Amino acid sequence: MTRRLSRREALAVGGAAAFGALAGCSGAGGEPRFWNDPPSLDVDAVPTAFDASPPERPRVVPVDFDPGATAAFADRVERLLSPIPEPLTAETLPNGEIRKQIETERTAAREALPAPAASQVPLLAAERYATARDHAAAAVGTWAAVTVEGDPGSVTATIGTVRRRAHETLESLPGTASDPIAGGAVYGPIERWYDESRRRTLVGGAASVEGRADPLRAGESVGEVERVQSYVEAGRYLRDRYRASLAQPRPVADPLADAAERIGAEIRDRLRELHGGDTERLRSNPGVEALLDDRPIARDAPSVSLLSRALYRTFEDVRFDPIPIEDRRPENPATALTRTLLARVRLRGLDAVASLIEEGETLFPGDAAAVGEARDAAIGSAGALAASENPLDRWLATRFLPRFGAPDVRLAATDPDARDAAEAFAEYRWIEAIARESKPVTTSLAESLGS
Amino acid sequence: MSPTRRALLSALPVGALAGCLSGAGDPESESVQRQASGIDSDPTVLKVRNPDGDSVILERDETADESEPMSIGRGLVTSADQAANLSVADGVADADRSRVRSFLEETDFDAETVYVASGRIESCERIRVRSVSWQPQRIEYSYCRELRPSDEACESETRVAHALIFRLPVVLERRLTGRGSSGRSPCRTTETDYAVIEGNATVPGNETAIDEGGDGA
Repeated sequence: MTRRLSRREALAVGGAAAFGALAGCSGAGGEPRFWNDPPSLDVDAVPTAFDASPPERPRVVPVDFDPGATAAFADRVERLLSPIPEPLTAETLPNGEIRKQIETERTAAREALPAPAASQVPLLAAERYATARDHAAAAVGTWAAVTVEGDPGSVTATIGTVRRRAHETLESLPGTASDPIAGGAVYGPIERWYDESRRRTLVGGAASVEGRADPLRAGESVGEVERVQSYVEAGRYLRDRYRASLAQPRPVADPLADAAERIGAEIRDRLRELHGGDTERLRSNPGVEALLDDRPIARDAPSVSLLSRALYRTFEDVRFDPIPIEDRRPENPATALTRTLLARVRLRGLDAVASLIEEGETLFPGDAAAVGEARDAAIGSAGALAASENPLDRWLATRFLPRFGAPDVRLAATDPDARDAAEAFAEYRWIEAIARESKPVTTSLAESLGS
Repeated sequence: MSPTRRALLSALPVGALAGCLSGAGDPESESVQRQASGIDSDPTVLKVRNPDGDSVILERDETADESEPMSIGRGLVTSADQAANLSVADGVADADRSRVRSFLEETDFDAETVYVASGRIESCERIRVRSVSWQPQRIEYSYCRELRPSDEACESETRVAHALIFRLPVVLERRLTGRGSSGRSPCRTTETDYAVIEGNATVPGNETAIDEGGDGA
């Protein structure tokens, strides 16, 4: 990194104009475009379907919803849907747009609800209950808004009540745990539900059911309140069951906050490097060129495009996530630790891709078989993370496994072309990179926590 | 004002018109210019849709015999003679056809001008016009879109032809060089009462699934 640092310093002094001159290839109008003359690839031989599936979402919370709780969540969904006529005809509700929203939300609610016998890891089950209740409440909230006697505001508790419940639940976390690593993995995602809802869902006039101008938006607002209420119930339930399962419960808030601050300091140092010492905008996207000393390939090469997309996604989260890069103790230590961990791993992944680019890697598959091989490598890497003994590894796997969806779908589409194959290949390489970069971070963390 | 005189005036640029009335250098010429500009925040506007066609208001070319009427996109109607050349497209409801005809007949073209703005709109939406403004050769209006009432039949994901027919309290020349609109969707507020459908919407039981009352952190 020494070479990069000196370059950062030069950039900080010389500014963007100097950088353009140094880079040589960055701003020239005549720069060759990768896709004007891509390497040859036998697109017809690129696999579009695969025998191996990505691993199932791993368990990070070691307790489950019991059948009674599962039935109660399903019952709430059916109770929400019960007042809506079925079928809902044009004779009953002539406005087709409103009718469509009610029918769409009703269908989505039932599809989201896990089957009674389905075995799902508890966080996924909680997310599906919340999604199902959101859709069901949106359906009946819309219906209530068009009926003479209906009141969308009476479908759920008031937004103030749900906000208070979410706040109280968040304040009670993290609970005790078997050890800090387990506590971070169990409570991190649960804290996140309330942290997000406090910052996004339950804020501003847009959250108010009464403030919505028409039945469609009134229904959506009812759904959002119900979603948070569902998370309140699920989070308290899992927290209580987990605490009850512990043989030797330990308070973990302080060690989690300490660990988040340690990793946060590493992130702060790296962000300073990327921003050339500019500490005022550490959370903003520094741009692709900040990661590269040399870019011996075209700016539209798949590897550079991947770096750009990954940078964007990373900094969309870095901007708002509770990553302690300022001198401020994190408020919610479990979610602070998990989000900080994720950011650290992604930054390492970005560096890994940047290094490949500097070596001239375009991430264009060498042949058709390379696409499947990259996918296999990604599954292997993510699978190892999902099967790890360390619950924070498994939590990271829950963040990475959904990334298989987009490239898999893209390849499965009718007649994928070379660009589809190349971008899928690059995405698989990214999954493999961030899964591989996870282990050093979590191992170091576990050592520092004595776990 | 006879149609002949109106036609003559229509052909003149607005500067020439101002000059005719007030004379160059006359302080009143600026006043005439100002009169040709204005804004109406509560405009008289007729809204017509055609669920079965691509157009709403058609105009026959008065200079060509036996010509097929053409759809008006956005344009001014400045005389009774021109209004007489307008027709309503097939597919528009009979009641709306009558409203269009009455609207045009009731326009005093010696003091007023009609502006037609056609386009397409979602079947289940309607437009609320917030204001219309004009200046020589230019018309703009602002609007917002809102959901139509619950008991009005409409189809989701279907767009229909739609026309706004403004009556502007000013005489404008026919030629337009600029026209525009700006709007938002949905409207921030609405006065529409959507709660008009008979039916039960009461969710049985309490508001939670597993947490009685939902309290107790």
